Amino acid sequence: MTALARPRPIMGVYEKPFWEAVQQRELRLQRCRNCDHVWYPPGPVCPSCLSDDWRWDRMSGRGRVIAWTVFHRQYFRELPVPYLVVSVALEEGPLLIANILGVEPAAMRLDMAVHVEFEPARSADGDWLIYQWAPD
Amino acid sequence: MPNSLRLAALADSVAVVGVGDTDYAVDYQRARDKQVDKDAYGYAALAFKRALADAGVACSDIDGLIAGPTLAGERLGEVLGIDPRWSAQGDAVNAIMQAAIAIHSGFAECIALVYGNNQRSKGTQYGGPRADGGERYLAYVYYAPWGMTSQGALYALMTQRYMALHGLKSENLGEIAMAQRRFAKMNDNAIMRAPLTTAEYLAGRFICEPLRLFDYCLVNDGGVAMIMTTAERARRMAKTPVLVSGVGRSDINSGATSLQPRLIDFYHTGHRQTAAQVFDMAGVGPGDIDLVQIYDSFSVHVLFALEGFGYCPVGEAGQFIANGAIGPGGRLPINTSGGHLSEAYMQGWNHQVEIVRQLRREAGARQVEGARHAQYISDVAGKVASVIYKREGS
Repeated sequence: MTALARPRPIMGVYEKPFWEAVQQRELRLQRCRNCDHVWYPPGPVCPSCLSDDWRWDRMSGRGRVIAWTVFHRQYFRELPVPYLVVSVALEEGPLLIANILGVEPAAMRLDMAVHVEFEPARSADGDWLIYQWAPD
Repeated sequence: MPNSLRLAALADSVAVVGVGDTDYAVDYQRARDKQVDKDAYGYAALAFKRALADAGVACSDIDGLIAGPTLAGERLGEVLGIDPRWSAQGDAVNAIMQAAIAIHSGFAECIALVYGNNQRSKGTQYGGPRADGGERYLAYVYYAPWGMTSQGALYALMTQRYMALHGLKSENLGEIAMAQRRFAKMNDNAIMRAPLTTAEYLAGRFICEPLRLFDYCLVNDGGVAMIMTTAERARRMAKTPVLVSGVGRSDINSGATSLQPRLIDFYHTGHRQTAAQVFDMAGVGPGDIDLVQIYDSFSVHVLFALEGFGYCPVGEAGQFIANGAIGPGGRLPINTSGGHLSEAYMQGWNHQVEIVRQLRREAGARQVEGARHAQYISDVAGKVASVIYKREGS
């Protein structure tokens, strides 16, 4: 698969392990060892109990469609329109945003079952992997 | 928890006594023609002078100054020659709340609230690699790798889910833009005054589907200023005071970047908490409100606010707004100046000016007959806030 040009993600202290896992084709989120809460985006403490005793837990990668939009206006030079952006609720709870592979806008449905896949991406400083949704 | 006894003491104790705005339609054309002769402070200064004249007070009477979010407080004070005893910075609704609190508690007696924005001529971006607001709201910039950017796209996601859940159709959504355009037609200062039909609304290009061009606010240059003082002093002034009767606020931050409160709740938790406070403090309910101004960077703000503030049950806003119900002569007039969609995008500030004009009965052809109570609602990024204003003597 050819890598598509994309803007790089914001890469703070807590995003770094998240994206390193994605490069290993794994979706990992922080899970609290104290209260079992799972959250996104990554952050310093569990937003549910403030514990900093958490681990990077591998997610099922399965979820259901919550909402979508089709971009008709181009905002990024490297991303031609139209394209779909989809919010998915993971089985573990958090909502994550990605594009969806191989689905036309007219076929989008609320609660549609999807799973995560990894797609090559390209930026000025090199190639990387991004996560995307794909229909089950 | 909010203390209702203390809030009751604040109710009706502070008034808006002066409003000023700039020539939105004229300046919109000037910006398009590259003939702009003002920056943000230039618009702010003009609006401020007009507000002083409207209130009948001198610049030397101003002892408190609140700068809008696009202005630097020091430079604003320098430009206007004001060395206040109290100052703050805030968006429209927070500026009003801060002014009410400061006047009520005695920090200042006569406060100027001043906003100016040259977003059109300056080329402010609300999406893409240089999207405005990303330093305050992470969701505005976090999803760039997937091309997810702009506040409009966030509202498009909400709208798509709402349509799938409640069966709202595009024609129905268009009622909001059309109703506000009918009001704008009766406002000489509104930027968009040409009639808008359903066919024209539907022919508008998609920006982020399902939102079309006319669901998006304008981007224009302008300024707004307000003068606020104690209710006692206001009663000695020439024009009918417009009292701040109730204020409410509820910030939804949990899950904000993941979009959970936006997409799952449509911010209704924040709406309900704010509604309970503002209606209780003002001693009125939705049935007492004669007109509503809703922060409408996108048309759909109106739907979610109507449901969350108890004007109609969840899922029924589409029916509520049908058949011109929120337009001129409708059962609940909303955004009676044309709002952000058709008058001007002054980030909630022009909505306050319109409320003051309506409650003073100065709104000309678009005057809502016998208006006594008006409500302002904003819920930008889930920071829900509301003010209920009352015409003095009502």
